[in-house]
Amino acid sequence: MTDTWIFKEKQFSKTSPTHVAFCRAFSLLDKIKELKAEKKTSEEGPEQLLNAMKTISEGCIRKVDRLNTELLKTEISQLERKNIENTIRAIILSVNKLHTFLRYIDATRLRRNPTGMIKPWELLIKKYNKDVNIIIRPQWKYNYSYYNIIKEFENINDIIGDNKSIEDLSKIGSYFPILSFAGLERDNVLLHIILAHEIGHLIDEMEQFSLIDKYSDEIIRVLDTTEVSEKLKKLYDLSVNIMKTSEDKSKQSVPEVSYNLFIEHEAKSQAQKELVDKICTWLEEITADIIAIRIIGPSFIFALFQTDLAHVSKKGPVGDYPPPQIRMDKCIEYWDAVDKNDKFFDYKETEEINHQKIKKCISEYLNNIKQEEPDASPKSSTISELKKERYNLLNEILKVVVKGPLDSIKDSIQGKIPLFKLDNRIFKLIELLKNRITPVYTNHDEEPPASSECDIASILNAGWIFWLTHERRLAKEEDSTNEVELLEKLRFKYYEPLVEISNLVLKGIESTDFNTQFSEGEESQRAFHKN
Amino acid sequence: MQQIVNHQGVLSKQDILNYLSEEDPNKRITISPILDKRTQIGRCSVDLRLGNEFIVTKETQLAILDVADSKNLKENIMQYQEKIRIDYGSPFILHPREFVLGASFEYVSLPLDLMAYVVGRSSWGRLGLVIATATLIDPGFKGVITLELANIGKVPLKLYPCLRIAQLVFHKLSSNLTEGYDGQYSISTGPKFSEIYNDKEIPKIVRGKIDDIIKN
Repeated sequence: MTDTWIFKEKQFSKTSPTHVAFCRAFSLLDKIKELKAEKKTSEEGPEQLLNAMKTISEGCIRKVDRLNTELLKTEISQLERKNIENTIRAIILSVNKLHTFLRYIDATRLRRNPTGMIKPWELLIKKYNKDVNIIIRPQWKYNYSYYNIIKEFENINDIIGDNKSIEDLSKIGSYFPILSFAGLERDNVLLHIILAHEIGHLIDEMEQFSLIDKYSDEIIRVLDTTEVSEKLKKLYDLSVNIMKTSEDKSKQSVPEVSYNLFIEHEAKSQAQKELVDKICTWLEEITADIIAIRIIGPSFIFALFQTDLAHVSKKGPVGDYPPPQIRMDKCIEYWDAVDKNDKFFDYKETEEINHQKIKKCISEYLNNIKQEEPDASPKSSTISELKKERYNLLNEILKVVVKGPLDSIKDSIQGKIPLFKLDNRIFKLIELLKNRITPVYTNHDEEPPASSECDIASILNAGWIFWLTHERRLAKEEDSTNEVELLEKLRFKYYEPLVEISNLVLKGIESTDFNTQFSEGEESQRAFHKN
Repeated sequence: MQQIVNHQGVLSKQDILNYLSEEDPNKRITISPILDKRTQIGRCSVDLRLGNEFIVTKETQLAILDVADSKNLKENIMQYQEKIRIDYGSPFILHPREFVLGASFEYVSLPLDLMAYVVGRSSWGRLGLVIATATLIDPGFKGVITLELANIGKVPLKLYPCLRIAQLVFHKLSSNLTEGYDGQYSISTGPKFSEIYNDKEIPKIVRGKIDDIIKN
């Protein structure tokens, strides 16, 4: 493939950027071809991503070819030559970046992900925007994340400025989310509820619920209040003190007055930037949490708690993210507010006893979460008291600042995102799990066989509630001298039951997916066979 | 809902439908999902479809599996097998004299008053496909059914997930049991490889201590 007419003409040296650009782009095209030739999966996402990458790679080649023609002209100046070569270098970097996207395709191979992990989530997203294709992939990092890859393509398109690729890419739309989940939890379907938070980011991006521009006036008003402005002053003072302490060595060569002025200015501007960044991130993260609760139900809070247990680092939370306990508080606060009006439960009078049981189970667990929620404030002894004080003060300010915008966001979400409701079907699903039967709701009396009416959210909630009510085992010391025996016992006590339930839930989700496809008429059956 | 029969013998279509509609999950036959009741439920059997997970053996990794080698048996078995998953719509090609483990697409649960046999469908048998060698399913069994697939024909066979490949024949027991199957292969949602290393009798047998077995 790389041995094309371009190389035969030998119009550029093999060390030139043009040569490198062609080699990289053709090599990428070869890889894309190989992956496209492999048997397709039933998901549309990977195929669409490969098509987009192919479009842009070809655009890069066309652009480099055009630039090379310019380079061959004798009349161009040295400066123009340099500029063209720099553009070609930028294209090389873009191709390198495109190459890294192949890992998303590799991760979607069916061997790595059960069907039940992908299709039902895809359907859930399509409920909100039917044109969105997704990729769900495991990653080695213990993290769940959302990433709209279209933005990267648009950046590359800006560099290559190729009309054909811009036109082709516009057909895909504005959203192509890559949702990643912790590979370690590949088999723990119950934890994958966290993906609802990542879908929350996608919905937020589409609807612009948390766009800070909408709330800037309100935020400025709160920052100007006496309560917050005093705290802000204290925050700036603390920032200056911290910076002075850590910058002591560089002080020696600078005059005292200039040094103090510089530090004060620098520390204040850094703190302001940090505050703005954190307001944006807090709004985005908490908005995604609220959307997740609405689309998937209370189990999202349980799963969030499980994953956040591990997110306590010595230096506090990473980046601008809100600390786990604040996120948890906001989620529980939202759940309580909606639940007060009994909106999460849609049940018949006859099921009141069961309903109360489930409600009690959820409340008890949420109370446990409140007591056990991880404290993410910095703990390391090497971090000064000043830093800890600054961290706590900043969080106090942020809590006050985001309150108003969050209330407005909640109202907007309520009007646009329908609420998932726990209804009577959940009892039947829990009953099935209790009997170690896959949780699929079917009414066998109907003829022809009724489709399953339960969706992924009902099944996942049933799995969680069953786990909490029947299977959650408390830690108990095992008296054993034999290490292997002890591990086996612990495995049976903690790990095996979770895997068992998780497998049953996954099978239930897959079966429901198939039931739905088969019950939606001939057209969907044909689509199913075509896949 | 019609009354469930009390006589022993093979269940007829109507009996099967009655068991499938039983409200109590412990007394019900669960086969989930049945994608098409009209074609899958026969006169005295229920067709099972092929799942998309397989366990293939890696002959190149191991010279022999010796049940007498109790120390390494578990490890050897793990080395010898590889789990693969194929997409719906993609074929799994089973070559002549090849042996793999597959699983039913359906999750099956039996009540305590029934047992079942897994048997092949004759259309596949005529092509040389053997689907199960250990065919008995205990009362109270829950899980997908592991199928021991072998091609004894002379040409490779393309197997697609969701093909109707086997059938279940149900028998009513002469009296009810109080406890059902709770063995090592229960509640599985994919094919399971042999766990023969859990058989406590084997080490005694290979050492020739038959007396110990009788004593215990």
